[in-house]
Amino acid sequence: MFRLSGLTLALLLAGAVGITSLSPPVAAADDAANVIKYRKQVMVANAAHITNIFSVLKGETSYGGHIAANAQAISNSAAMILDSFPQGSGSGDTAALPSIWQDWAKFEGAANALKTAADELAAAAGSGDMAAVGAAAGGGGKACGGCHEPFRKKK
Amino acid sequence: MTLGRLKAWSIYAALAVIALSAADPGMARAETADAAHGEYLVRAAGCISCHTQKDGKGAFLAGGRAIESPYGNFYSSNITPDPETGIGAWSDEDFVHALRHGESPDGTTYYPAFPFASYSAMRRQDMLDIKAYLFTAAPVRQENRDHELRFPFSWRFSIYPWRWLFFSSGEAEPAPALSAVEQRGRYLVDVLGHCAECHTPRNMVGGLKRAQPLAGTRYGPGGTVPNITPDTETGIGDWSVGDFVFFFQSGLKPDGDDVQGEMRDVIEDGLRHLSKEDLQAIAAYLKSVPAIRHAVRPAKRRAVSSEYDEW
Repeated sequence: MFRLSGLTLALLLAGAVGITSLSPPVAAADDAANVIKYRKQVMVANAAHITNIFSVLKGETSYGGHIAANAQAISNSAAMILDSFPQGSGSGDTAALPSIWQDWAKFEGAANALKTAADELAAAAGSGDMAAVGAAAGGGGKACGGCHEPFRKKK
Repeated sequence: MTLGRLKAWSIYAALAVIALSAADPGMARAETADAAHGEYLVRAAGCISCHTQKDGKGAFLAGGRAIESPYGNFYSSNITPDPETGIGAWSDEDFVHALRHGESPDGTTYYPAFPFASYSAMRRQDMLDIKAYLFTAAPVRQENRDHELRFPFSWRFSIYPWRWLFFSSGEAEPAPALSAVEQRGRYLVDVLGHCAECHTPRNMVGGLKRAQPLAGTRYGPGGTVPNITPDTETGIGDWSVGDFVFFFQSGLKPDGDDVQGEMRDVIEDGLRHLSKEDLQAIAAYLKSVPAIRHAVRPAKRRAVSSEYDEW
């Protein structure tokens, strides 16, 4: 159910912003440096959602009721990620590799996998099964690597 | 106690140890091995991520994975039980000798890319359990690929000075200052997990720098390897035990970023399968080691030996 609705939503979002499935968004009128700054903040926001989910799973806080909302925010970021890597935003203060634009289909697939993983985490959190939440969170970690491993400069 | 008496006493103690080991009943009767425990140890010892090619390209444990280093590329060996190209013809003693002394059954010394300097301290029963598990794996016929090393490392005799200077074999001395949990962590970190092999910088002849244990290096396999000592600025002194456990289970660091490179596979194939208690023990030990201030910066490009500037 969730997988289906997630996919449908992704297709709708893709349609809404006018991207075809195999090519990156064309360069926006925005300055590349500002686009790079923007997408970094998308990642910072995701890191914040993830660390707050972890805070609950580690037993540091008891905001279990927030996990689904944090996961949903990460799910929503998949479309923002795809939008904020337009053609021509590959140079400057960025760790993005040119392979993003050379293999856009793979990049898009990895972003959609993040969405799926985050949707599964949100669903698990909704069910209240903390073991399932823990397992889904681990899967979420792998989803981050789906982009970072092939498409980000090594630190 | 005078020095002379202390010396005499230590000789008696050494003799007593020899006498005890000779009388070890495990040596006399037929040994049994626990393959299920061996599988757990194989996870803890990181065998799979080096002995299996990346991204599902090669057969399980059949070797052929490149381990990049400033000395050149090493290729891991086939450790499936194929009798001709793997280790299927090895006896228990062959296997124990390989891990304890870093030599193949025909007496060839291994390069320390195979972390026998760490495995040497492994308990004999654990070695036998690992062998029992490896022998349950599907035998794969795959010849080992030759290493591609720079001179003089390409010359196998060059390992002997390294062995004389940096290698001592045998099980680890107990460290009485550590708690039981930290002792378990020490065995997992220093022996099975062989963390130092990648996380400790090396000198110009490939020995681990004893003054900087676990302080990170920019010339690790595949690139930069972080400082994992408890230094709060350049290491991971701000990680809680819970942070460590979560990292080992999910690959996600406390700042929300995910781990890449070799460590990703070490977690995926190894650490995430360990018990929570063992992951907590690893954390406890890593929090007990000396904090070393050492900022690791990435190398601008792939190092060759003449540019290797950490020694």
